Amino acid sequence: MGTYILRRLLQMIPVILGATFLIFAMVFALPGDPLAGKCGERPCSAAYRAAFTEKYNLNDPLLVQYGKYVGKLATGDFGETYNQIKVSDQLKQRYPVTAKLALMAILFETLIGIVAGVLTGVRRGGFLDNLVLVSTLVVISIPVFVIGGLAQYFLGVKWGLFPVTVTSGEATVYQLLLPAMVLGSLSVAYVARLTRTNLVENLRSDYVRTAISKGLTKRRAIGLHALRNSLIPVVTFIGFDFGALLGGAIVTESIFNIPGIGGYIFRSIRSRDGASVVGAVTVLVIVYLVVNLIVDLLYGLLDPRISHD
Amino acid sequence: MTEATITESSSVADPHDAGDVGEERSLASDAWRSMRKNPMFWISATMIAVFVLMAVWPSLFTKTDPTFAVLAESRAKPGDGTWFGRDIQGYDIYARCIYGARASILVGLFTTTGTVLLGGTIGVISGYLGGWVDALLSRIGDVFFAIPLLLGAIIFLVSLPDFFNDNYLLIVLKVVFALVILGWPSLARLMRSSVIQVKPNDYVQAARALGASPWRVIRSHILPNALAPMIVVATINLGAYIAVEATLSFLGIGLQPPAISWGIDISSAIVGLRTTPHMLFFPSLFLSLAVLAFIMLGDVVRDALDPKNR
Amino acid sequence: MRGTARTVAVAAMSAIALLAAGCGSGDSGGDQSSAAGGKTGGEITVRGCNPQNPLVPSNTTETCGGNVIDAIFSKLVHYDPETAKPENDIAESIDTTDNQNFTVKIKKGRKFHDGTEIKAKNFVDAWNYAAYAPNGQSSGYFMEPIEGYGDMQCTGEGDDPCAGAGNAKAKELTGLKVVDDYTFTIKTTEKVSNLPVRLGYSAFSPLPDMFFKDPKSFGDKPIGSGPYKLDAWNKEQSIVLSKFADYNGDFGGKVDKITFKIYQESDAAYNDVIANNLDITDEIPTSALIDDKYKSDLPDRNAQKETGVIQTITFAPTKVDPNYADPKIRQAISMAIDRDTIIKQIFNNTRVPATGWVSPVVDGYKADQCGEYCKYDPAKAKALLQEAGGFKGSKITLSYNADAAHKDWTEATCNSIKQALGVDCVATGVVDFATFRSQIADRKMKGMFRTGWQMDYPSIENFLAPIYKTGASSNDGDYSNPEFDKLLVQAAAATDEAEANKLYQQAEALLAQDMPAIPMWYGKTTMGWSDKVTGVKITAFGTIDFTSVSLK
Repeated sequence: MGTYILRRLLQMIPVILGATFLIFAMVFALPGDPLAGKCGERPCSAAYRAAFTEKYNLNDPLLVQYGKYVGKLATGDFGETYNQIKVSDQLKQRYPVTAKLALMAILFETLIGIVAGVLTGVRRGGFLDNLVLVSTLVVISIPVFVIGGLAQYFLGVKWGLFPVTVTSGEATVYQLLLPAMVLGSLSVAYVARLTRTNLVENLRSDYVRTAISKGLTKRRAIGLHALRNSLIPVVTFIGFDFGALLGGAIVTESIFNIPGIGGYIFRSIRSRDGASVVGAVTVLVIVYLVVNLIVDLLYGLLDPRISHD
Repeated sequence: MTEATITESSSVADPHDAGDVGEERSLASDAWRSMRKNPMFWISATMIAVFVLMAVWPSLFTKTDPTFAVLAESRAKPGDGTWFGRDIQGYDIYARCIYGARASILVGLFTTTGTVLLGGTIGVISGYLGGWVDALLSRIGDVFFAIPLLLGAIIFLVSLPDFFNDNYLLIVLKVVFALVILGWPSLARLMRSSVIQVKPNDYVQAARALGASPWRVIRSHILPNALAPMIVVATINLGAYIAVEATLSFLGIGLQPPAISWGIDISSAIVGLRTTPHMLFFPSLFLSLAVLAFIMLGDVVRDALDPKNR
Repeated sequence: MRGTARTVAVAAMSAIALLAAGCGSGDSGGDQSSAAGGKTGGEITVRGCNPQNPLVPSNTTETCGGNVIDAIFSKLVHYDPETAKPENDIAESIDTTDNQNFTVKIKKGRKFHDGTEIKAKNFVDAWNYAAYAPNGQSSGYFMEPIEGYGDMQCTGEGDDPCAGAGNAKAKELTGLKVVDDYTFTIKTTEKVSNLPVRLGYSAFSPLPDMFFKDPKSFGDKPIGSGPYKLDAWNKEQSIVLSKFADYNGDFGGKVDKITFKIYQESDAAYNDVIANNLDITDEIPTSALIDDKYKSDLPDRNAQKETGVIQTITFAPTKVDPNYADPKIRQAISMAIDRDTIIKQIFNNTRVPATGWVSPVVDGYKADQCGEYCKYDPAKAKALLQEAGGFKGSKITLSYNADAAHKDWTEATCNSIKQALGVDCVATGVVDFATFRSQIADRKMKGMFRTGWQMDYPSIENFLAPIYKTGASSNDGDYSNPEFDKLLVQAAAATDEAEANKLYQQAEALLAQDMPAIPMWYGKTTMGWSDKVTGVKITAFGTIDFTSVSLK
């Protein structure tokens, strides 16, 4: 087990380098100009431009820039944004907010999704089953910015059930409730359907039938055997989803004015601010890899046939 | 109209009518046999056929030019000579919905096909072979997967050169390309875990012990068993990709006018969410219906392919 | 002076946010907000956005930083929020007899936020710093009229024009002389009748001595000269200002504390105002402008006012694209644009159809300078086009920068042209503002392209000379008319204001014959506020007037 974890940790290094280089190269290739908007709606003066280019090494070739970047990164220096703000300060400020949001979304989607999946899977064809299937379909097919806008307008502005936007730097759980639900809504549909599908399959399988015929109550057979096996793909999915939620919250964050990482990366891409994009994505990649490792370890717990020795 | 009814009816599908259980009886023909008895198959297939027809031959459905603007009637409500009303520019929303099918359907279909082929193949290979191949492929997958889909797509699309914007098909393929590059690892991982789950089963081990070729073992034993979760996710993904395309348009990236797509129309209508929701409703409805049709079909196919149903 | 001086930092903002901010011109509606009274003291929050540069007046040309700079820096001249008329602020007097040599006397006892007194040298040093090209200040070119500016620019080629031999020859403007602590003189290269009007622009702010010791760190916590001082700048979150206790000027504010809360989306700020979480937003999102929704969301808590902005469509120079050379073709295109309908449907009446090239907010404005050529008349337009022999190219193109909200109106404009003239017209987006501008500057952009202008200072001259004078910095269409140039020189030399305005108006009338650019509309700014505040007024620049805002 220990050596397995160590091996996995070592494997992370090339992945981190690969992903950061990929992002760095893509950011480097971005068309347009990092000085766009620096001087309002007019071009910057030649003098301003020269000082700016010099300061951020914009004239170096890609590999040299990447080398300089990784060199600094190794010492924990994430560099500075084009607005003279330390990237590491921004990350420290923003990651906790987004992590909180993503965790709440995960919690929401896991709870609702698995419960809905189990209920529908056990009573197939019932009213509840139909209702859940139809509503998950609807959720999947409406883009998140429509759901977010509607939820904000009705639940926040019109009926006043939730705060309309996050109002301060330290976003509270209450303020993040609605955004987390919006963010997790698409995944609820996925989790519910995955749980249901797998549960239905497992319920038909021999071992569950055997368990029931041997006198186990249906409830016990489902809880102990069928559900545990059905959750393997679900856990895989949630593992994937955490990384995606961290960075994919762009739209949700912008609708609810959440000072998180998604919107930060998006704006940095728009302003061609390479240091911010690569720094934020690097952390994202590391988080993703760690979560992934945990998911793989969970496999072993859920399915004893898989072992990590 | 639900998956449940599909499942029920297909499990009732007669398992005894199979006369010749030999090599000739392919998985596909089995599936077809059970599918054609299923009314859901026909409903979803009809809807898809309509959308595809819309994509191929839009003028069959409307004589109105989707780029003809009557600005004075901008944001007009349905009625008054238009079925669905007019949008901000004064374009006929009905005509826009018809002509918009092409882009969304193309993006959805191409991306799903691309991710299934690429992700599925890589997933099977790494799950079946294991060892260093698995390790290498998984790490490569990690690199791409570790970059969140939406963010990655944004960076990707922004950094692709401008000449992509000149031709309609190229714009679509640009979006497809970005989504496939970033979307395949999720299917690969899912496939891989399914394969790992199925591989230890006795029938697989038995087939291998009997000397079946890897291709044969994969095709006749592993694939049918591992395919179901992948198809579920892939069909849901088809809808999600169309929605991602809409989100990218919302953010000002991806498909751009003069291309007509539901995504573009939804994003330009979003400002009217509180005031003129019909501009948002109709393209959203078309989008949702298209997604619904594909997911329904996916469910039917899944049940038909699942050997446990027979 | 190119493009629009004080517009939002495009890169950092969403498209929706930009629509409301991009343009704003006028006189209407300001009154409904000016419920006078309200108590003194207390604190308010207003919508802010991320400053793109350190907060140094001479290095800030975009609104996000500009709004803060305006509140914390007093200049020689202050513009009346209602009428945009210049009044002396730090200046005791600005005198000239020949429009070329100016003597500036400043008031005694005015202080910087660090307690030091504002003296003549604080102005002279600051302006020299701004003009010296190696300092890389973005608004250094405002010093251009002052004698000696040319020698402070770098002449080198390539990435760093200031390297080696190309370095600037002089470090100080020869046109600036300190006479005593409270007096200095300005000498301009040519006659500039409206120089005193210009001196209210933030680039002309004084800077305290400590700035010159450490210009780098100054920008994070600037020491200003205005009624408010900067307490804290929490990057990407908020900028907190508080009343400067020793302020003894005439334009102080009522509230004790102003917090600029930084928003990325105007929708989010707007929703916060409705929920009373934010006191003032200077931008109403498009979603709330449709059908005047904001008026029912914020009854009696909104205002709209014309600001000194004009949107135009410029034709590529003839040598770049000969298809538009004939003024008749240009006039035909102008007459094919249904401005009224576009403003009603696309802008929800937040623009005013332009009838000339000068904004109505400035002194010297004359209506209907464009005459029938700015009135929608598809039949005449088509006839005029035929008279000119029809359009020779395959299609008309109208380019815009896609990073701001210009898509809707350019598309609608093209549809209007297409339907009126029967010539295909395509609105073409260019990835971002910088790329868009460089294509224009390199004279590579063909067809028509959007050009906006926000006044730097409230003067008719600012709408004509920088844009249409031969060789002017923002003359994107390479317009050249000797008669026009002559009138501008005469106007700049005129000592009588009325006479100067008349000459400028004559020059403007020439533009209608040649049509170097099509006037589209004048901008308006719309604001909304919470039920906690009162006395919210919009300045002619589209900013919040902090002298009148107070808590109820």
